[in-house]
Amino acid sequence: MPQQVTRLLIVFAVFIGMFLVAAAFLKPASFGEYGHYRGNAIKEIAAKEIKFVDRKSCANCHNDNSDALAGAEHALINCQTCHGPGYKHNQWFEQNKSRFMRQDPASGIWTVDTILVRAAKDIPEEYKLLKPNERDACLKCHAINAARREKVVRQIDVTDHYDVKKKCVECHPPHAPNS
Amino acid sequence: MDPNYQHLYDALSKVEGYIYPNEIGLNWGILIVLYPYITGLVAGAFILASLNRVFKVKALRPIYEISLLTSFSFLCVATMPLIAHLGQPLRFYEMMITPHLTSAMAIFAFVYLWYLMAVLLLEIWFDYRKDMVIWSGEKKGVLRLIYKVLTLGVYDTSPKSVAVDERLGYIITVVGIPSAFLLHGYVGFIFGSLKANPWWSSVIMPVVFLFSAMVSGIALVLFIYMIISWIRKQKLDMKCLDSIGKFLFYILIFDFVLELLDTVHRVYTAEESFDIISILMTKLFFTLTIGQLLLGTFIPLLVLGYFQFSKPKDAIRKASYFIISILVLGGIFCMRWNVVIGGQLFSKSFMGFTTYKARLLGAEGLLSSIVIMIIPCLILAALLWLLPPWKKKNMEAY
Repeated sequence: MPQQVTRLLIVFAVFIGMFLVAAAFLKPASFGEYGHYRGNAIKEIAAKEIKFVDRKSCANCHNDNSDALAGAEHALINCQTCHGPGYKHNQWFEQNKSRFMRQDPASGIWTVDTILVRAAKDIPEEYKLLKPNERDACLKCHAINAARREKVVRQIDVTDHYDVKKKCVECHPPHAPNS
Repeated sequence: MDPNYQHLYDALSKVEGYIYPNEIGLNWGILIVLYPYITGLVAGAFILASLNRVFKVKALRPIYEISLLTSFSFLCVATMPLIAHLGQPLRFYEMMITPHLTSAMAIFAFVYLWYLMAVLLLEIWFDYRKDMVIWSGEKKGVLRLIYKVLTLGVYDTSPKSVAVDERLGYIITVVGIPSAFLLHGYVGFIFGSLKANPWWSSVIMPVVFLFSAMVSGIALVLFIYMIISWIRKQKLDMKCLDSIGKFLFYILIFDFVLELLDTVHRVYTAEESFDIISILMTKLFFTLTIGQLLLGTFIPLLVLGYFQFSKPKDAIRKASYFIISILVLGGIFCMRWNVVIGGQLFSKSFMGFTTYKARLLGAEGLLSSIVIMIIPCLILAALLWLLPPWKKKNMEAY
């Protein structure tokens, strides 16, 4: 074999060897555990702090609002779309649950008294949810936008709809805007 | 107005008709225009080199090494626009160490590596090996060391050994031609296989990309050859220039005919996307009608066509070739622009348009694109200094 070919083969072998060594070191340990990705990524994501809750958790205490929502135009919108992530808020309730339990005198069953829960004034700031009632909150969805279908989302031109200084919620109750 | 909505209203002012929310901003900007452009220059310049080596076009001998070194310089930066475009640029190597075998994008890394390592580097090495051995004896200091390292310790310059270089170089060029076709056809394939986008989705796309690559690569070598000769105050080889002009003319015809075929096919089949594409073509007036067609195709075709029948004075031809090389390079850039940007301007609902304005700063801005285009020129300058074709033993006549 000519000398230059032998030398090139050695150089290529060294290069490929270096590549394989580098690949062995750089390849994440859990890669390919389940599929073409890092297996640990799933555990890392699962270990993240939970932020959201399901609708039922909200309805446990806020049943008047969930009742108003049912059948209204906003029925398909999740509570947390407007009020923000609810997990922490729900945690506060779970931690203080004993305060809000009441026994039904007739049946003797213990249930959560939603009136007591909602009357609670000592909920710390970091556990509170958003209560957006400014014009901007509604305009996130209802500002005119060519990419939205009018028949799916009603849209208004923010600059000239009624009195621009008034809040939307003064005329349109947010849980049942068409009521 | 609340600043949260100001940007929404600004964005909507750039939109016409109905468009989905995720189509307002373009995901692929000017960097992705550069990617097929640079890769095309690489493939085109290499194919020009192979015309001399494999197809024995003797008139092209003076630009053989220049073509190879140009091709190599641009190949070194071909992935830079892609890496700069990545959200996580430092993870680029993961494409190589965890190869995704069903992703056309991911496999490009290997197509690229094959072309770089198995074709260009080897061909340049075999071509320069004997000269590097000679230079390593003549030069002193660091330069001598560099040449010694580059020879990989093979100092044999006997006729038998040089004949082996010649033979292996030839084989690599023969392998290199389909590899160059693969490299750039592959870029066309990535766009052509995106069936969701009617402006891209076309079986002919890899072939169109390939021919436009050859056109741009030839124009680039023509441009660089003239600049190098001007800097070195050397007389231009008119035979060589005419020969490049002839090949540029033929391949430009092929390229134009293929694109025409694609257009005729679109017009005749008039699929559901036809209306939006016809409006798109009017929106791309400057880059398509003026840049790509008039300046980049018609004028070069007319002038080069005229030169095939009549030979005006050398000075006129030189000036014309120089201008044509710039026009063609600009035209092919416009073509890449029309494909990449044009393909994202219309909504997949076929009912509306967005607009694109390149930013000046930032990783994906105009400035970084200019830097990416300057780097290969600097690499080429360094390579020409290190491996000057005109100092090769068999090239002294040029």
